[in-house]
Amino acid sequence: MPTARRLNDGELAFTSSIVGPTIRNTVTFQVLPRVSGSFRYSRLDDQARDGGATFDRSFDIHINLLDEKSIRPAVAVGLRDFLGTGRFSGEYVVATKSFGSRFELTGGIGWGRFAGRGSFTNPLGVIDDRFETRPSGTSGDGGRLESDEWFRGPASFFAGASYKFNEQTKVFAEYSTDTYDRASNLDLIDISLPLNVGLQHRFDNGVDLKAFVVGGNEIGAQFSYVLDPRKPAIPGGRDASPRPVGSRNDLAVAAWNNSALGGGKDAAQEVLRAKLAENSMVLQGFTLERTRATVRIENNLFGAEAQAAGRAARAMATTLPPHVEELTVVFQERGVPISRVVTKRSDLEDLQYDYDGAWRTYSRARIEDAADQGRNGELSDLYPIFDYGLKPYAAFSFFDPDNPVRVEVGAQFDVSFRPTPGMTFAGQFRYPVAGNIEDSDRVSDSLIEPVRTNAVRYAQESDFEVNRLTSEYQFRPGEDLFGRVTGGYLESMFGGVSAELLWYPVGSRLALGAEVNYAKQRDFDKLFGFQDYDVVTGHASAYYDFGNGFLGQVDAGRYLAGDWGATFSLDREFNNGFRVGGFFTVTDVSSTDFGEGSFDKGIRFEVPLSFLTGNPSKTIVSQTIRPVQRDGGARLNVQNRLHRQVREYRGKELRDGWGRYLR
Amino acid sequence: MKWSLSIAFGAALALGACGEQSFQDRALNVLLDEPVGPSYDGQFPRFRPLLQAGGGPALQVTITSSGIQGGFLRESGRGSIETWLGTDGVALTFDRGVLHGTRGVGAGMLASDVSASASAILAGRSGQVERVHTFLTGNNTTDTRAYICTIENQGSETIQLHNGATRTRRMVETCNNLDQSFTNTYWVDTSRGRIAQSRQWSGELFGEFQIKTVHNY
Repeated sequence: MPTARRLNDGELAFTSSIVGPTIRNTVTFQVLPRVSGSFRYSRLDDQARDGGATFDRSFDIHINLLDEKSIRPAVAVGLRDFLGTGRFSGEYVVATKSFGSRFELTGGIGWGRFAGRGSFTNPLGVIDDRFETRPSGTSGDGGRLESDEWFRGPASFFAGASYKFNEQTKVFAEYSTDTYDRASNLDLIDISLPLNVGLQHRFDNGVDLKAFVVGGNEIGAQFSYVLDPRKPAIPGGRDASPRPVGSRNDLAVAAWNNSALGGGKDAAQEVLRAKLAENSMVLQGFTLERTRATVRIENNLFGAEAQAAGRAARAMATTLPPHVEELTVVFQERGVPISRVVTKRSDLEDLQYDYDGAWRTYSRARIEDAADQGRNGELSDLYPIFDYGLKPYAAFSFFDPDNPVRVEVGAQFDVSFRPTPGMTFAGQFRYPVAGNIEDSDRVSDSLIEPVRTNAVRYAQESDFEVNRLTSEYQFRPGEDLFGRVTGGYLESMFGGVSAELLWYPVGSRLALGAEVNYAKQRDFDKLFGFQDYDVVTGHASAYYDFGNGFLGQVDAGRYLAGDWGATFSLDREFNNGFRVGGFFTVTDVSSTDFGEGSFDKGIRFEVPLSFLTGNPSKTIVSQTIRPVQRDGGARLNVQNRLHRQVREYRGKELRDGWGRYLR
Repeated sequence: MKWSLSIAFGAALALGACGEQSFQDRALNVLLDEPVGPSYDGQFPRFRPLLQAGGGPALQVTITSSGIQGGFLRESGRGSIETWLGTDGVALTFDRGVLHGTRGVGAGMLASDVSASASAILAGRSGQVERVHTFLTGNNTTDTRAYICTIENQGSETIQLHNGATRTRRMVETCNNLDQSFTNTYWVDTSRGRIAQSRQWSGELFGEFQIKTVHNY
C-alpha cells in the first residue's frame, strides 16, 4: 500500500519482498525533493501459460504534492507500472498524517490494480464520463505510456494505520484493495480478508525488516535498505596527509636547488617526479623559468581532479627554489593536454591553514584551456609507454526470461602501447572459463537488423575473444576543441572506423559534439572476420550541466540498425562522483518492429570505488540496466568518447571537487 | 619511560581496517584493475626521516570512543601553526597546541580559526571567545561552523606525563553553536608555557581526541 511519505532528496532505497508466489525487487531513487522514480523486477511463480515462472519489469513514479503541516496531511500522487504491459498498472492519490510521535494514518483512493475490492464508480466521472471506464486494450509489448488508462475505470479506497513502539519498531495494519486476482484464481495465494497486518523493525545498521500477514492466511516479508549517496563508507576518505608547505627560503639551500652540489633543473625534476609518484601522479613535463614553473601530470589516484591539482601544486611549492612564484599544473590524458590550473605559491602558503582555504584558493586560482600547451617541456624519456595486465572479469546478462541473472567469468588480458602523445594502440582479449550466458536458448526474433539481439550467439560461438583491437589518436584541433579517431575492432560485435569532435570551453555548462562511424558487424566467433552487415552511424550530441548535479544529454542521429532518432538522458551526479541516471531512445523503428518494450530505455548507476573503500581511487563501478535489449536505438560501444574524459578537467567539475584541493 | 611509535592510527581509525590492505580490498583491486597505490611497509615514508632526526617531543593521541592510539612527530611549522605526522600518514595540525585540522582520518577538520582560544588558554585567561571549524563532508563540500566558547581557568593541577610529574594549569573550554556542543580540556605546562596534555573535540565523525606530550621516546 502506498503512503504519502518520501525519502530524503537524493536517497536510494532497495527493497525486496516476498508474498505468496511473488518476489519483488525494487530500487527507488528520490530524483528531486518531491519526485521519486522506481524500477521493479518481479518474479511470479507458476503464472506463465506453461506453468513456469514469469518475470515482469516495471517503472513507477511518485510525486509529493503537499508536505505535512500541523493540521494538513502530506499528499502524494503516483503511477505504478506506467510503462509496462499494464499487468500491475495502477494509480493512486494518498494522504498520510501523523498524530503525536507514534501514531500515523494513511488513506487514499486508487484506480487500476488498486481498485480490486469494494470498488465504486469513478468519482472523476463528474468531470467527464469517459473516466468511468478503463480501456483494457493494453499493448502486448508494453513500454508505451498508457496515459489513456490513467485514473480511469472503477476506484477503491484503501487505508492503513501504524503505531510506533519506539524509534525502531512499529506495527501496522492495512485495508488492502488488491485481490491478487490472477494469483488467487490459480489458487496460488489465499486472500480471504482484505486486511494486512505486520511488524516492522529497523536495525542499527539501517536495514529495515517487515513481516506481515496478507489476506488472513498468507505470510510475507520485506527487506529494505536506504542509501544516501552523500554518505560514503568513510566520509572524506582516508587518503594520507599532503605535504605541508613550509618556509620556501629553506628550499634555497636544498641540495637539488644548489648548483654547487650538482643541483639545478634536472635535479629538481627528479625530486618533483618522486614527490608526485608518492600520490600515483606521473610527471610528463616540466619547465622552469625564473619566477614560474609548469608541470604536466597524469593523475592516476584521486577521483577529484581538484585534489590532484592541489597535491601537484604543493609538490612544486615544497621543491622549487624560492624565487618561483607562479605554479602551473597541466592535466594530461593519454599524453594530450586538457586543462591547466595556475596557482600563486604565496596563496598556497597563506591559505593552506585558512578555515576558508578551499573557497579562497579556488577564487584565486586560474583554470584555463591547455590547447596551446604544445609539446614544450615534455620529458624526453616518456615515450613509448607500454602497459599490460591480466585479470579476471565477470560479464552479466540481465532479465533473460528463463534466468534473470546470467554470468560469465574468465580471464582478461589488456595491452596498450603509446609511441607518441595521443596515439594509442590497445587490445583487450578474453577467455571465458565458466558461465551460463551461452546456455540461454534465446535466439534473435528481431524484425529489424539484429545488431544486438544475437548476444547469445556471440557467447556460444566464441571461445578465445578479441574484444577490442584498436588504433586511436586523440588530439587538440584548436582552443576548446578535442578530437578522436579510432579504427579497428571497436567492440565485441562491430569493427570499423570512428571519428569524434568535441567543443567544450573550459568554464562552460554546454558542450557540443559530433561523431561519425562506419561499422561492420563482426563474426560470432569474435575473432577477425566480418559478416555482411555494415552501416554508417553517428550522432550530434549536446551536453548540458543544469547545476545541482543534474546533467542532461541529447544525442540525435543514426543508430546501428540504420534507424534514425534521438536519445535523451538525465543523470544526477553527486559531488563525490556517485551517479544515478536514466535514458530513453526514440527512433523511426515502430514499436511493433522494436518488439518487447516498444523503445529502448534504461537506468544506470555509477559508484566510485572510493565510496566503498574510503581509499582514493579513480575507478568507478558502473552498471546500466535495460529492461530489454533490442535492436532499435542501439549505439556503437566505441571506447574513450571525449566528453566524459574531458569533463573531469573542466571548470565545473574542478569546482565541484575543490573542497578537496587542500586535502 | 620508553614509548613505541609503532601503532597504526589512521588505518585503525578507518573503521577498524588493519594497517595492511585487507583481503577484500585486494580482491576488489584485482577485479577492478585498480592500480596498486604507493606501498610502504608499515610506516609512512615521510615519517622515518622525522624519527631519525629525533629532537623535540612526540604526541601520543588516543581516540576516546574507541581507545585507538597513535604517535605523532612534528613535520612542519608556519607562523603559529604546526603539522604533526603520524606513522601511517595521518596528520594533525595545531595552533599553539589547540587542534586546528586533521588529514587522513575521513571527513575531518579541513582547517579552523582557533587563535582566540589558543591565546586565552596559554594566557590562563577566563572569558568568552569565538572559534571557527571547517569540515569536509562525505559529498566533498565544505561545512564551516562558528562556535561561541566559554573558557575557564580551573587552577593548578599536577599531572603525570611520561617524564614524570608536571605542574600544569587546567583550562576548560565549552563551545556551542545551534546544534553542536563540546567541551575541551587543556593542561598547560606552566614552566614550558605550552599545552602538555589535552582532550579536544575533532568533529562529529571521531569525537574527542586525548593528546599527550611525550618528551623521551
